[in-house]
Amino acid sequence: MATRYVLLTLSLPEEEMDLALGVLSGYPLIGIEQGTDEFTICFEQNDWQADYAETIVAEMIDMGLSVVFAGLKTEEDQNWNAEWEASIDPVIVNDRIVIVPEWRAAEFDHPLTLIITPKMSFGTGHHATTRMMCILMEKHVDVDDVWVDVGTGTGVLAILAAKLGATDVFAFDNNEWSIANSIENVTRNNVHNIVRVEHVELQDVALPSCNGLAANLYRHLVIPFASAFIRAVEPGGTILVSGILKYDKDDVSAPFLSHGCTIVESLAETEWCAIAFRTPEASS
Amino acid sequence: MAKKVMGTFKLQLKAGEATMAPPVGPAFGQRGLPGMEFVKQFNAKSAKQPGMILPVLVTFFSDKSFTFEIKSPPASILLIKATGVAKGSAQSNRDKVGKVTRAQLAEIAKIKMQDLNCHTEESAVKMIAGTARSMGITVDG
Repeated sequence: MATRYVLLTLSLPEEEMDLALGVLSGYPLIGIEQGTDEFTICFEQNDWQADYAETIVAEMIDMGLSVVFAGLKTEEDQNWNAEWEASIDPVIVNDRIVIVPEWRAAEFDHPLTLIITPKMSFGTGHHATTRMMCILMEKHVDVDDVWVDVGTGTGVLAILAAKLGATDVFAFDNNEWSIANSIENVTRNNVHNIVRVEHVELQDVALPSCNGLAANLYRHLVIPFASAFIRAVEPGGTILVSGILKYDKDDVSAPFLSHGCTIVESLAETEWCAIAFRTPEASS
Repeated sequence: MAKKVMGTFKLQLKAGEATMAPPVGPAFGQRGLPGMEFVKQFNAKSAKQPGMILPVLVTFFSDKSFTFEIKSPPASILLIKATGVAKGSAQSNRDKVGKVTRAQLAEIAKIKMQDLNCHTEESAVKMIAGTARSMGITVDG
């Protein structure tokens, strides 16, 4: 959790912002918050160099922009999401599944009560992508299965797999907050003997052989890793994909179908969809 | 009762790469909004424009919900991509860093039309050409 950020604030008329962005695009920034004639440029401290403030201002002045240095500060990484998290309501997915923060858990007796107290990690059930994955997992996880949860966030899907009877669940994420939070939630749900959490990048992970894999990610991560997912899942196994916009469904399905997978079912809610693929019976 | 608009704020973010790091985390956090949901939605919706910095206008409501609109990329960045120059010229009157064709300007104008205060494509092209000149990019033809 040692990440620090450098925030550089500049005053600049809004009409000059476009040209200023042309200058800033050459720097390793994370993003910008734009106010009225003022903007704050955010960097990871590891990417920041001591002369950046001076250089950026000088480049903008040379271009004829009316920029004025307005401040520089560093910010510790912290749980920016804490205020919202403290106010969350439970999410009733269906008659059997509810996702509930620890302080509301006693109010529910659903057979699959998932105690998820989030800490700047995705997966509280408030977003359609998580709810649809829960519904698909309820249908596709069998007792004694081995499952993988790609990009586990709060750990909610890994915990659900364990509660549905999987005896071995490997969950991973590249985000430090997610790792800490998923481990806390795994313990809260008393499935720490079943769910193993690892901090690793998708491109570096050694996926174990499994009966099913859940990936609530993005199209630009699912598409290039589709073949790796298929290799990890046993013939006739299940791959569940979510985080996909409805109009991206065909693009995301294509690499799975071209490797011999079939679509078992898909769900849609608002503009999002989730897809259940079956891997080919014989490896292609 | 209809939910009440509480305010708006504007961010500039790399397509498909938003995280809870600043500016997203503090901007959503200080307003009590679910930043993680924004990250999920923004990355899904912007992933097809890798390498672009995209302006995003977020509107938030009394029930802690939000909507957002992704605007077209800044003209300066579209010009940098189109011409392959590293960045604009510091002395744009004297030092020219690259050239852009009329056809490229028209392409950029089409992308920018929705966000520019222009009624015709021709006036949008003129506006983009002005940005190009300010960056030391010569308009060819």
